[in-house]
Amino acid sequence: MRTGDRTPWVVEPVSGPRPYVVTGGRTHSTHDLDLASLVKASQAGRGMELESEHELAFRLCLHGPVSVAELAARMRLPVQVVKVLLSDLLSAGAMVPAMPTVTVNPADPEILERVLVALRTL
Amino acid sequence: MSPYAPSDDALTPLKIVIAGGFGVGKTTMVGAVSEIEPLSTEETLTIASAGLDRLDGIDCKATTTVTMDFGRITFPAHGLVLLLFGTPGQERFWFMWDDLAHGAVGAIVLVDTRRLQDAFPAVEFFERRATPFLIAVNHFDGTHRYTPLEVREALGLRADTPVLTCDARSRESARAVLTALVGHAQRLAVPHRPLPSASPA
Ligand SMILES: Nc1nc2c(ncn2[C@@H]2O[C@H](COP(=O)(O)OP(=O)(O)O)[C@@H](O)[C@H]2O)c(=O)[nH]1
Ligand SMILES: [Mg+2]
Repeated sequence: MRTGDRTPWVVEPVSGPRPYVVTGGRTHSTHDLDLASLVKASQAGRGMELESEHELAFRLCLHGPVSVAELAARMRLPVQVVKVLLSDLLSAGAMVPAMPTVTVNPADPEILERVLVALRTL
Repeated sequence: MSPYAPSDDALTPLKIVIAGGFGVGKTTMVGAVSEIEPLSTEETLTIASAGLDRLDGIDCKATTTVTMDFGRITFPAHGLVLLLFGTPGQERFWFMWDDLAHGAVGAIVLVDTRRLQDAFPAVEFFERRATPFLIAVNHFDGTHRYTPLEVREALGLRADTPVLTCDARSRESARAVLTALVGHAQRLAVPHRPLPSASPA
């Protein structure tokens, strides 16, 4: 795993108001993320200086919700690595979840009805 | 307020799995209906020694690359995004399917009638997992066309599993398959909805 030999990430203020996000050595994400989890860049994140891979992930999420799966594909990184990067960014407040806080039951007839209605517009 | 009501630009993500054997048209179908060029995620897997030779008691390992297609359809007005995952159909990738099938609306099992048997692992997996799925027979030019009934019998499907024919290259056809899958998932979700009574007392 590419992040395996790094020192733990910290957020610490450097000269001036911009916090500096250093990258992580963890191999497990601390946030409950799956392939379909959606995240987006936060306003606060725009003021942070991010380490290169975090920066890339952040930039890919500037324009609205992006899924973990898409991010992994665009970054050409294993899903597990992307989950760790996102955990760092979520913990630092640079990114925020971009989906309902309530876990959606995909077998909920009401939500399936909404999908059917949406598909008619395709 | 419904828990599904989108706040800000939040969207409800819903997964749909497109499974099937090699060359059956998974990437083609994801591309036909996705709003972005299909992306591929490559995972390099190390497969433990099962079935491989041992050397001096040391397990041999083999690596393999699994390519998964990714596409999406966003419906901002409905607060939804459909995430489409095309995934290879071999048994050895079952562990990956668990992740994919978890929380998925359902699965499309793409079938090429020249290699019907390639669909067996996916059918078995989704049946066992009780994931709503349907069979979409991708018709390649010049291939013998089996009737849906023949496909149903050959695959040993349950009576309520839909069998459709499609053209994976066609957006309209892919949309019809998606609609059929979601409709099927909905019927399974409300299996005993009473029929309106024919003659009121
Ligand atoms: N004639 C015809 N060719 C198709 C159809 N669907 C896919 N193909 C072709 O079959 C090949 C394999 O399709 P692909 O989507 O890559 O299969 P995958 O391995 O399941 O992802 C490609 O060359 C496609 O262009 C179809 O409905 N009709
Ligand atoms: Mg493919």
